Amino acid sequence: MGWSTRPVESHQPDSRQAAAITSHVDCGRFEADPELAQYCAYLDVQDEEDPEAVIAGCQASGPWEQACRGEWVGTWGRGQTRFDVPTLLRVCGENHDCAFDVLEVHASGDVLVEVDACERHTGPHASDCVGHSLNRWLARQPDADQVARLAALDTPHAEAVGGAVAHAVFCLGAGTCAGSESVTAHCERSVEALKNRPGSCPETDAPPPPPPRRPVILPPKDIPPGDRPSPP
Amino acid sequence: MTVTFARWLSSIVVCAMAIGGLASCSRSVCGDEAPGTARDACHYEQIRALGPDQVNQVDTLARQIEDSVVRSAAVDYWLRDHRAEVAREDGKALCELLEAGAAGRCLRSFSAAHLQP
Repeated sequence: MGWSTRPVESHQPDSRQAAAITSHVDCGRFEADPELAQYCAYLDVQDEEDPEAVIAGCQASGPWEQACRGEWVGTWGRGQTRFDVPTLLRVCGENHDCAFDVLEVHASGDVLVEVDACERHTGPHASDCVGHSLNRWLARQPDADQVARLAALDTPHAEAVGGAVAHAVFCLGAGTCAGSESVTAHCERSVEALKNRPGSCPETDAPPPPPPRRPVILPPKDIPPGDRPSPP
Repeated sequence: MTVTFARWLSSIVVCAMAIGGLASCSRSVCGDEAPGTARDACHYEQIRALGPDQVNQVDTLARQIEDSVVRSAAVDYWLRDHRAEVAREDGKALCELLEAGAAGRCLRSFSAAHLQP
């Protein structure tokens, strides 16, 4: 399991990319000033097309390394790009904002891949990243198999995942909470909370959830038929 | 005569703007530098010495820097040092002074909710 290494789409540089290709910066004049030289290196590397050269160039830009990585990915990795997601994430490096953006713009469509990538690459934004992925998953109206697949996930974001599974179970009527121990526990708690909170399911085109089963009270066998209570 | 007056006026303006950043005022008056690299370097140093409440001075001095890379560096370093204290609209206005390779990241830092300090 993992990100596709295929390019997202064939490369058609947009106007900003095209401008960058033709506008290398002359940084030689700043050789005597390390502060300006580093900043210039950051600007200059934005024109590079080779990700490995970008990484090396950004590493040479001192305090601008993270900005350098993020800006390049923001330019070359958006929309139609020749670069696949793993490459973009490699250029992002420890720039978690950059990685968060990549995972938002180039969502894989597989919630397990997305959650895993959020947890590995987005640092302090992991919860937001996972939340967005789960919202997209719910919007696709998962079926019981997909619910079971997500519920089985062992994740540090079990509360969020359990909440999403609970929404699928309660609001979409898809599957059950059965899965990994932590997700199941959070899911069951969330389902109970949803039951006690009318109107908590988002409006969707999905059919309404089945009404909760009412308990069938079987009459004791020793009560004469005429004395038995009427069924609910 | 005109040039001399302009330099005198420039020094007055720079010193007036440097309230709260006296080091830059007493250290150098950029109007005395020859136009070009030396004056750009002077303005660069002045901007670096400005405090977080001197966003207007940053804008004014930056616009006097001829070399676009030096101008961008001056503003970007200043924003980096004072990011948390700069109002969103002020920050976005300064981002417009940056080179294309830096402006996008700068604007985004003042726009994206999850990047606010």
